[in-house]
Amino acid sequence: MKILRNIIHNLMMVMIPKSLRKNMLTCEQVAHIIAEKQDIPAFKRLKLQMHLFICQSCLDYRIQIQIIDASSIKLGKITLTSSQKEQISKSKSKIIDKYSKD
Amino acid sequence: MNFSSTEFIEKLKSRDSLVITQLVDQYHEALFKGAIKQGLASDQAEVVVQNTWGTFFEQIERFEGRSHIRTYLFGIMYNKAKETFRENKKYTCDYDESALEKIYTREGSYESPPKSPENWMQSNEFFIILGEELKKLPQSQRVAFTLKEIEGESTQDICNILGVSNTNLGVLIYRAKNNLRLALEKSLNK
Repeated sequence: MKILRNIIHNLMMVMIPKSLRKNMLTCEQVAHIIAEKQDIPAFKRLKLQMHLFICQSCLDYRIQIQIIDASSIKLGKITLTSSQKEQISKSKSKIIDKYSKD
Repeated sequence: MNFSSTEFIEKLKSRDSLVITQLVDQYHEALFKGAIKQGLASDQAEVVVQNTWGTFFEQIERFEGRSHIRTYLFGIMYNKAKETFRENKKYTCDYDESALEKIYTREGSYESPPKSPENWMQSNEFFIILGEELKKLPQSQRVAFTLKEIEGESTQDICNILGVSNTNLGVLIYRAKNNLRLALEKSLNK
C-alpha cells in the first residue's frame, strides 16, 4: 500500500497541472490542520482527505500526532509521593486556618 | 453544596470556616497536581498554590460568579506558575528549534518526511522520553500543550490564561507537537 501510494503521489505530481496543484493543500498546511485540530469547513476537509489518500508522509505524520495526543492524557495522571501528600495536608489546614474568620 | 451557588459565594465572602474547608478540601490537591504538571518542582508548586489561595481570598469580594469557581482558581494558579517560570532561570533554557525550520521545502512539501511511528508504542522508553522532551520544550509551548492536551482546558480559557490570540495559541501547539515528534523520531527511529 505504501509503495502504491508513493507511485500515485509521483504520478499526480507529474500529471496534475501546476495551476491545479496550487489549489491542493500542501503538507505544511496539512500538518497545521492536524496538530492544531483545526475546525475546517467541509470542502477543505475533503481536500484534506484527498491529500491524505495520496501522501504517505502526512499519514505517518498524523499517526505520530495521534500517538502524542493520546499519550499525553496518560502523562497527566500523576501520583503524589507520601511526602508530597503530607506536605499538602499540612498546608491545607494552614490555609483553612488563615482565611477562616472564626 | 453547589460551589457556584450565590449562597456558597456569599458564605465564602463572609469567611465561613465550614465553606472554606469544603472548598480547600475540594481543590487544594488538584491545584498542587496542576502546578506539578505545569513543570514546577514540588516546593515551588507548594508556594504557587499557597499564593493562589492568598490571591483568591483577597479578590473574593470582587468575585461575581461569572465563571465557575474552579476555572477562576486555576486561572490564578496558572498565572502564578507563569510568574514563577519568568523569575526562575532554571525554567528558561535554550531550545534548538532549527530542525523545525528545515522540515518543509519552500513549496510546503517535506524536506525530510516523518518516519513511521510503528515501533513507538512498543518501546518501553516511549513515555519516559515523551515526558522528558515535554519538560525541555520552550516554556510557552510547554504550558500551551499541557493545558490543551493534558488538562483539556478550553481554547478560550487557555488564550485568557496565556494572554495570546487564538492564532498564536495554534502556532504554539503546532510547534510543541512538532518539536515533540522530531525528538521522538530522533530517539526511537534509529
